[in-house]
Amino acid sequence: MLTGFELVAGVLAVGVLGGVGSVVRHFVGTWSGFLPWGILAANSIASLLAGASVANGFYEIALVIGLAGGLSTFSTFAAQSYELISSGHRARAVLNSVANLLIPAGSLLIAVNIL
Amino acid sequence: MFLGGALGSIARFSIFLGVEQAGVTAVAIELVATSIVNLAGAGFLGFVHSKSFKESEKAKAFWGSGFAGGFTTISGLALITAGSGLGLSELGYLYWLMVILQFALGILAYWFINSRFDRAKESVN
Repeated sequence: MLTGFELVAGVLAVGVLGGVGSVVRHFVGTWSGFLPWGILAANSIASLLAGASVANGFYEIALVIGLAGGLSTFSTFAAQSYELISSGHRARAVLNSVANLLIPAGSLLIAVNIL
Repeated sequence: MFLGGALGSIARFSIFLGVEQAGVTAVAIELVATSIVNLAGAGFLGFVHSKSFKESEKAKAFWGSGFAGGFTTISGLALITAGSGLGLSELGYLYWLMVILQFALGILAYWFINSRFDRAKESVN
């Protein structure tokens, strides 16, 4: 349970770093080709960062919930997958879903076990 | 964009704290809270991308990439499945199943809300 000061500091840190993560994601997210690579990259890097934070024993609210949470996104993944389905690229939508499921989890595992 | 992301991240953090108040276990907190934010966020983005939402690109960037993007998370899902070791445990298949279900429901939530509000706008016009 967080104390009053920790709560205020946590909210501020989550807000600032979440904002930074969102701006970075916005720019990285423009990278697109066969799949929406930008969002996949943002989700994978965010998971790597979250894994590194946990592995190094500083499971910081600011880093994991703020920066990694702001950098990664589920809603844009859902929108892009829907766009792929509605434009007739169903196989790509499945591939995008599998990639966004496995690569971020794999990145996190790498961070936890190696970093 | 920055403000939308900050607001979305704080809203996500608040939901995590709210679920934590319910006194459930750490893994359940992450699973329940992540499911809530991701499904609600995907549906909300469906509304932002619909014809009923404002035409302004600034408003779309604030509420779409900013707020909905900052509100939802995939790194949180990775933490549940891989980070907590649940995805590799004996019951790992259950967690993978729930995460896969969340992916499918997220896409459905986006489609459902988006098409509803598109139709609502068309019927007004």
